[in-house]
Amino acid sequence: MGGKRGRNRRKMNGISVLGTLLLCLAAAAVVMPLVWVLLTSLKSNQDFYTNVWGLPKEWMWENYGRAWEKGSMGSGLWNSLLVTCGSLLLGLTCSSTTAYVLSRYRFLGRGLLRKIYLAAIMVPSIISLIPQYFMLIHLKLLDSLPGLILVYGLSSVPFASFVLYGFFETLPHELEEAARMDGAGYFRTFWQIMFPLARSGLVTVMIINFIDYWNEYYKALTYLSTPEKLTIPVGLVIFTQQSQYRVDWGALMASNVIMIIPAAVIYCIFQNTIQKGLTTGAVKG
Amino acid sequence: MKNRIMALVLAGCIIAAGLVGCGKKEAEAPAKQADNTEEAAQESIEGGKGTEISGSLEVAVFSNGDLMDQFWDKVVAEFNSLNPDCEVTLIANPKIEESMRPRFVSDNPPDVYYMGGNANMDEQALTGDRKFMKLNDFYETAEALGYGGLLKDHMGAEIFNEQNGDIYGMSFAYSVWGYYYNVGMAEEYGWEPPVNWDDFCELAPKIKEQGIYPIIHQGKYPDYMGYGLMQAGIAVDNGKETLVSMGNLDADTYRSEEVLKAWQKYETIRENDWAPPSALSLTHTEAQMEWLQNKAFLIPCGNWLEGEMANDIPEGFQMAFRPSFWFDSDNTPVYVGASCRISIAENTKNPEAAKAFLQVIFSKNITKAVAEYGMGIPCMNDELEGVELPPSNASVLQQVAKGEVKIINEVGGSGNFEPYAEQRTIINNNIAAVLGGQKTAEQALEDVAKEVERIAGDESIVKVTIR
Amino acid sequence: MRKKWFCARNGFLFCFTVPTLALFSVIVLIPILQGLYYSFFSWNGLSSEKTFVALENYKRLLADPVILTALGNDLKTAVIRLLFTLLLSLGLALILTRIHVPGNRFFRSLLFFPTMLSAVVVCTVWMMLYNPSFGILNLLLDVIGVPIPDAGWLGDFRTALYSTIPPAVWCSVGFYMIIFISAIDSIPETLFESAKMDGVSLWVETKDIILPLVRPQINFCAIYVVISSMNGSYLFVKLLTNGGPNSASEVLGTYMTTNAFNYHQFGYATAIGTLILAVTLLISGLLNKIFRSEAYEF
Repeated sequence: MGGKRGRNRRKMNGISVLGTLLLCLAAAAVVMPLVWVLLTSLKSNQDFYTNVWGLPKEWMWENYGRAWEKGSMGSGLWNSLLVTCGSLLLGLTCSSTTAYVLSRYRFLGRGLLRKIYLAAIMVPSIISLIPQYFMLIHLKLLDSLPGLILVYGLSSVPFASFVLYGFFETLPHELEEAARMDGAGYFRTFWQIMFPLARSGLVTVMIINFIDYWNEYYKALTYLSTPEKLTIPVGLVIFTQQSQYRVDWGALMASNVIMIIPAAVIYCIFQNTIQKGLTTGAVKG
Repeated sequence: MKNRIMALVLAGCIIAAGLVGCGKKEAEAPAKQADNTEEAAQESIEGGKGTEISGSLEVAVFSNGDLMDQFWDKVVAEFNSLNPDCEVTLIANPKIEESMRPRFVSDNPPDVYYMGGNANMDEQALTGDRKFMKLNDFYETAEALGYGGLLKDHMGAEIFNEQNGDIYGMSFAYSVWGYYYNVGMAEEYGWEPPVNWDDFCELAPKIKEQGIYPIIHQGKYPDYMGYGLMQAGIAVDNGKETLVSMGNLDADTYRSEEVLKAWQKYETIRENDWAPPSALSLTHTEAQMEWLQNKAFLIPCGNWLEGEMANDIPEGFQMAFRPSFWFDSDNTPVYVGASCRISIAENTKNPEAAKAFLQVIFSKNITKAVAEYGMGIPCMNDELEGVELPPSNASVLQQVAKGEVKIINEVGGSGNFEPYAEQRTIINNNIAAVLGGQKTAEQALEDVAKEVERIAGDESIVKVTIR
Repeated sequence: MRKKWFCARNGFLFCFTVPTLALFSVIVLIPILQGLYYSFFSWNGLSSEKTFVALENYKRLLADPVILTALGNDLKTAVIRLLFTLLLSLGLALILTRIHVPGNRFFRSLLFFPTMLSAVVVCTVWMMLYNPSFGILNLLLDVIGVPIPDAGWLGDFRTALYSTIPPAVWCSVGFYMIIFISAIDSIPETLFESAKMDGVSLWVETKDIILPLVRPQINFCAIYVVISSMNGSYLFVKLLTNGGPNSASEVLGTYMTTNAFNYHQFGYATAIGTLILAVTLLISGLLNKIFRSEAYEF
C-alpha cells in the first residue's frame, strides 16, 4: 500500500521518537481495554474480584458457552448477518443511484430532493421510533427481518448519498461523453464506468453502514419480539441486563468478545480494501 | 493473506470456545429436565381444572435469568399439564417492558403480563388507559387449586393494583425492604445489629475504629436507601398515613418536621463519613459485591439479596436480615413491602385461558415454587411444610409471627408509596444530592415539595389515590 | 431521435430517484413528520387518545429548568468532543503521514479498530475502567498524581458529564484519523518537496500547507462529530451515568427518552426532539460558515 509511494517523510530523529511514543501511547489506550476484556471473559467471578488485572487463574471457557446460550448468540449471529447483508445491498443501491443522479444531472426537483436528504441526516432517530413502528404494522412488516432491513437500509440513504455525492462529483465528465459516443445507454454508463470509479467512496460508505447495522440495538429491540429473530446486539443487551443482576462478569465480557469477533474478522479480511478505499480520493466535503 | 489466516484463526477460536462451553452445559440440562417433568406429573393429579381451555395463550414476563427463567418454565409446565389443549408461548427477558410497550400501543398485547423488576412505571399508564382487564370476578369466584375452596379465602396478603374498587393486577409474591448485616463481623467484634437510629449512631463510630464502613449503599439507585431505610423509618415514627399522604402528592407533608428529621439522617451519615463516598457511583450489584467483600457492615436491600448474589457469596460468609433502623421512637419496627403484579390484557384473545393461567399461579404447587425459586414470600397462605425458603424470607416470617415487626403494603399505586415516575426521580435525585453534599436536607425537601406540587397540578399526568 | 433520447433520459432519471424516494418516504420520512406532528399533542405514548394542545409543549420547553441544564450539557459535550476528536485525529494523522515511524500500517489498523465496536461494548468496558475500586484508570492517575473524586468519576456531580466524553472520543478518533490520513496523502508531493527545499519546519509546513488543503475534510468531520454528538451522546450518557447524579449529566437526548418512556409524555418528548433538531441545524450551519468550504455545496 503505502510502501511504494515513497513519501518524503522527514527523518528528524527527535520528532520521530516523540511521534513513535505518542503512537504507542494511543495504541496502548486502544489495546489495553480490549485485552483486559478478553482476559476477564475467561475468569470466574471470584477470580475477577481478587485478581482484576492479572491473568486468569483458571481458564473458564464455560463463560463463552453460557454467553452463547443465554445471549442466543447462535441465532443472533445468523440474524445479524442476514440483516446486515440485506441492508448493505439495499442501502448501497438506493444511495449510489440517488447520489449519482443528483450529482451529474439537472432535472426538476433536484434542489428539493437534495435538501430533503440533507435535512434527514440531522434528525434524531427517536422521534420517528413509534410512528415507524405503526408504519411497519401497516405494511405487515413488524417482527420481521425484511422489515428491519428496509428500516436500516433506507435510514442510511441520506448520509450515504451525501458522501457519495462528493465522490461522483469529482469524476470527469469526459468519461461520460466518451461512453455516450460509444453508444452506451445511461444505465450502462453508470454501472460499468462510474460505479467502479467511485469505489473508494463506496467502500467508505459500506464500512460506516456495516458498523451501524451490526451494532444497532434500539430499533431492533423495538421492532422484533420473537426470540428467534433477535439480532446480536439485542441478545447482548438482554444478557448484559441479566448479568448485571447476577454479576456474571465472565460471561458478560465473553458476550462482548463474541460481539467484537465478527467485526474483527471482517476488519482483518477487508482491511486492505478499507485502507485503500479511504486513502484514494479523500472524503470530499 | 496473513490477514485472512488471522481472521480464520480468530473465528475458529471463538467457535471452539463456544462448543467447549456448550458441551458442558448441555450435559447438565437434560438431567434436570427429567426431574421436573416427573415431579410435575405426580403433583398435578390434585386439583385438576377442567380441560375446556384451548387455543393459544401468550404470556410475557420479566425475568432476569436462571432462577426466574426456571420458575416461569415450571409455571408453564404446570399449566400445560392441567390444560393440555392450550398452547402457551412464553416471552421472558429483562427488557420485557420495552418490547411489550409498542404492542400495547398497537392494541396487540400479550394475554398475560408480568412487568416485574423495577419496571412499575408503565403499569400506571396502562391501567389509566384501561389496558388491563378487571379481575374482580376472578377474585370473587376463582377456586384455589390444591387447597380446596375459593382462592380469596387462602390469600394471606392481598396486594393489588386497585383503583376505585376495580382490581387490575394481583401479586402472587412480595418482598420486603430492610437491611442485611454481616453476621461474621458482628460475632467477631461483638456488635449488635441496630434496632433504631440511636443504636446505629452509637455503633457506627465503633465500626469505623476497625477501619470498616458502617454502611454501604447502592448509590446509583438511591431508592435502596429510600425504600429500605427511610420509608420504613417514617412509618414507624409517624404511621403509614404519612407515607400515604406523601404518595398522594400532599406537598405539606414533605415540608413537615417529621419528614425533615428523616431526611436529616442522610446528612448525619455524610458528615460522619459513615458511608464510603465512592458508593455514589456504584450500581446495586457493585455495592452488594463490595459488601460481600467485607468493606461495610450493613447494606440496605430487599430480602432478595441471597438469591440475587447467590453465585458470589464467599465461602463462610453469613448474613442476616433486619427491619430498618431509621427511626427514633420505641414503636414496633416495620417492613415496607415491595411486589409486582400480574395482569391480564383487556384485549386478550383468550380470557378463559388467561384466567386459568392466573389460577395456576395461585395454586398450591406454584406457591411452593414461588418459595423455592426465591420469587419472594408467597401471597397465598401456606404452611409451606417441606419447602425450603431462602433464609431471609424465613426469618422475616418468623419475626412477624413473633410480633417483632409489622409489614405494610401499599395498594392502588405501584406498590412503593411513590406512584409517579417524576416523583420517584425527584426524590431519588435529592437523596443522592444530600448524600453527596450538594444540598442540605431542607433544600432537598423544598425542591421535592415544589416538584410534587407541579405534578399535582399537571393534568397530563393521570392521578391515582393510594392507601 | 430527440424524443427517444428525451424519454430514455427521463426514464433513467425516474428509475434512479423515484423508487428510492418512495420507499424512503414511506419508511423514514413520513414517520419523522408524524413524530414532529406529535409534538403538538399531549399523548402518553400508550393510549389511542391524543389531545391537541398546540404550542403547550413548546411553552413548557421554555419554562423547564432541566432543559437549560441538558442543553448546556449537550453543547459542552459537543464542543469538547469536537475539540479533542479533531486534535487527536489530526495529530495522529500527521504523525502517521509526515513523520518517519516504524510500523506505520500496523498503527493505522490498530487505531481504527475501536470504531467497529458497538456503543454498548464501549460503555461496558469504560465503566469498568472508571470503577473506583478496581478501575485501572484510577491506578494510573494515582501514579501521575491526579486527584480522584471520592465518589468516582461517574458518581461525582462535577465530573460525571465530562466522564461520558472519553469513551465517545476513544471509539471515534480512528475513523476521522483515517479520513485525515487519506486527505493528507492526496496532497501533491511537489508541495512538500518545495517546502523542504525552503527549509521549512514541520510546524510551519502543517500550518501553511496541510491545514488549508484539508479544510474540506475538517469541515466534514466537524459537522459529523457535532451531529453524532447531539443525536448519539444520549446512548453514552444513558449507559454510563443515566443522567445522574441528580441530572448533572443529563443531556437533551436522555431527557427526551425519559419523558417518552418513563413519564409517558410523548408529545413533550417529541418537542424536545424538535429542539435537538433545531440546535443541530444551527450549529452545523455555524460550523459551515466558519470553515467556509465551497466543496460542502450539496
